[in-house]
Amino acid sequence: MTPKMILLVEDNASDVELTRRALGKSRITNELVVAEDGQQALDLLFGTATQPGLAPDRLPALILLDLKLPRLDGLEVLRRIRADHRTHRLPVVILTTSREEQDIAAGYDLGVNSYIRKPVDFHQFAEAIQNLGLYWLVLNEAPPKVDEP
Amino acid sequence: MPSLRFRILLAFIGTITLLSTALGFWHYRHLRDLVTRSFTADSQVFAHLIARQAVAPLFAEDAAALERLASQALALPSLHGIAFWTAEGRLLQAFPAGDLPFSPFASTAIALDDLPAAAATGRGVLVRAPVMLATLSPEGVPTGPLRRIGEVSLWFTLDDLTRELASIRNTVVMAEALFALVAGLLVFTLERWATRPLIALIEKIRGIAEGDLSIRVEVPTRGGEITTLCQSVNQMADALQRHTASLERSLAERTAALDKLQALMDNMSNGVMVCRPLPGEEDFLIEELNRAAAGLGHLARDQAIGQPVTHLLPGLRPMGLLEAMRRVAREGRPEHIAEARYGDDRTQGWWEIFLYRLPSGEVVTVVADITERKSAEEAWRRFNAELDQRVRDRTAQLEAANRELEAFSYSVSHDLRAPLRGIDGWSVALLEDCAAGLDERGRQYLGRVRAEAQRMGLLIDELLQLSRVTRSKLEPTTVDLSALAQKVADRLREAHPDRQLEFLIAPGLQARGDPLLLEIVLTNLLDNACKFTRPRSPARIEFRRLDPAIDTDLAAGPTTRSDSEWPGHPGGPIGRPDPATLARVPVFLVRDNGVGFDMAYAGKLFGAFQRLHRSSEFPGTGIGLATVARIIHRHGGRVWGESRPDAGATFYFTLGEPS
Repeated sequence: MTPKMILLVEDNASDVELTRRALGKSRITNELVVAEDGQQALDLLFGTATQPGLAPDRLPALILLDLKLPRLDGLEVLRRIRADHRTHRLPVVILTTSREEQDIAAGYDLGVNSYIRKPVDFHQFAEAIQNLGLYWLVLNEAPPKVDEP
Repeated sequence: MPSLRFRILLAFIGTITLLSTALGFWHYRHLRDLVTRSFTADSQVFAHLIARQAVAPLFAEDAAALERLASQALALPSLHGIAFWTAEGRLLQAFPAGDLPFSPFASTAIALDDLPAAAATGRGVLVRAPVMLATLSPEGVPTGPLRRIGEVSLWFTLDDLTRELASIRNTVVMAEALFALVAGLLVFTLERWATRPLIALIEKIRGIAEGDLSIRVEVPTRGGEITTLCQSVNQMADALQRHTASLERSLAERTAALDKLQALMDNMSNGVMVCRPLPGEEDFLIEELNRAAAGLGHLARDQAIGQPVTHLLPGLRPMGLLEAMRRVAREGRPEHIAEARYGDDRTQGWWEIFLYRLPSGEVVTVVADITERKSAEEAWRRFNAELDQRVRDRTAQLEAANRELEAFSYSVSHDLRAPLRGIDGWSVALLEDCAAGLDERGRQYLGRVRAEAQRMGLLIDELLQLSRVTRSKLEPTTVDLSALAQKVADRLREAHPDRQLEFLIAPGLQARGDPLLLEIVLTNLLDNACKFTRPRSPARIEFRRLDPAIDTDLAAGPTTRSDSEWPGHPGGPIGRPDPATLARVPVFLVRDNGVGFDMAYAGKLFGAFQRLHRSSEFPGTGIGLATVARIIHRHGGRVWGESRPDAGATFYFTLGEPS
């Protein structure tokens, strides 16, 4: 069985590539799907008028969510994910540059599973990504599948 | 009403007159009876005498003898006529002959009581006497019964009697009149004597009655009732004088009190108006008005008194005061009107009013002019409103600025660090993936690129902390500074395992403040101490309270001060506080044995991005102490530093006034 994908919601192309590179270095082979803003992420998960959403068994194993996003910001995306029964158990990790206390508090209030601040030092960044992948994809027991009502 | 004297006189004289009249009348009656009885008796005796002498002539019917007898008898002046009768009633002889003034057979006698009346008529009186013949023995002793042989009639005139009676009457009248006159004179004199003290007394009493209470009556020594009366009058006058004096005194006192009250009324700043309600409380008449009230209402006081209040102060009705006065007049409950605006075409102002009812029913209105206070309040209110508006505007500006600052910080936090991560990340990628194309120098340069990027990341982090320190909410509590310092020291030891660090942390130091912010303060200060003692081994770092007994250099030593960093904050956090504050507030210090600094540059210590050492020697951003100063400022305390190059540095801080 192919490993489930990782959904990265990130608008900075450089950060996307660095994340991809860090994952690669950590030997994490899960497919990385990128949404460049919050709306695109929601469209991908729940579908639009023209395109269906993801099937339950195609849902990502992990969502890496930046907070500062065009159109719909990260906290709103998190709120929608937690509000929908199909996705409300999905592990979501906020991966952001911000260390503002209010962002951290709001993230946890909305039910985020983890809050990681991206360091400037790439080595530290890579280490963080590696730990993250290891923890959420290997160590952590995935939530059970949610049946369609 | 006749006077007392007149009445006494009248009574006495009347009595005397009455008495003397009665006495005179009685006396006269008595004398008249006496005279008439005597006349009657005399005339009868005379008639019988004549009858005895006429026995023989009558028996013998001797005319000559009868004539002789008659002429002898007629010698009596009052006897006017005489007649001799036989037993058979035959007239023998009458004298004066022929001309009898009376009928010989007229009445035989007259009643004595009739005498005066008879005399008054001028008639005479006829007296008859029988002529009796006795049989005599030879011895001349009468034997046998007397035999009536004839009769004698005598006619007496009453002229003499009448004259005598008149004379008696005149005498009596004269005597009584004289008596009355003498008695009257006597009474008059005695009355004067008896009433003189009384009259004098009356005169004096009249004087007293007319108001001269100093008059006193002479008290006669043996005057009986008069003495008592005079004494009583004098006592009465004394009592009156005393009473009057006391009345005058109390009147004077009352007048003085009234004057005082009037002065009080007139000089008080509050207006006072006393009004009497008209029937039905439709209106009120002004009874009293003090100067202040007259001034308030622009009234002439003399003209206002007695006038209806609505006429003089037409503004009372619209302001509701008239209604309040009616209520007070009706119900008697005092009222207070905290403020009301009075206005008519002459005057206007703000009044504070007290109303109450006097026991006599008048309504008292006390008015305080609060116009100035009101306008001051108004000005104050306007000023406050403006101030509020300004504060609101400023707050809004400040909030907007804060929001901008927050947005800016947020943006910095996100967007400024992201490229740095890119620079670092792609430098690593270059080093790793294209190592073949780079020589040693190229790798060195890329290392510099990475170091700079990371340094900038650190800078951004510290800048964000500095801004957060300013923005975050202060949550003060009691903080164990010793424990906090120990925690930071442990962290530093862990971070520098290669160095010999000696921390001397005084136990039990407590202060009130925000624990997170105070941790940042201690972290920065101890971090600095650690950094600048790098050349020392062992490095000694102290944290304790300032003790004036040990730290004697503080009083004399120079002070770092830079207000330029805090424009508009002359009471900013930098520099040693004044000695009074120092004595009152605990001072904490962090002292090291490091390289120290030149006090010439001390002014720059707490400015952001200000550094006193070269980066190559002691790396740093120059933000740490600026952050410390901000936190101390937010706690209302002060911070300052003292040092000499190579002689260590001491940083002092206070945390505001102890609560």
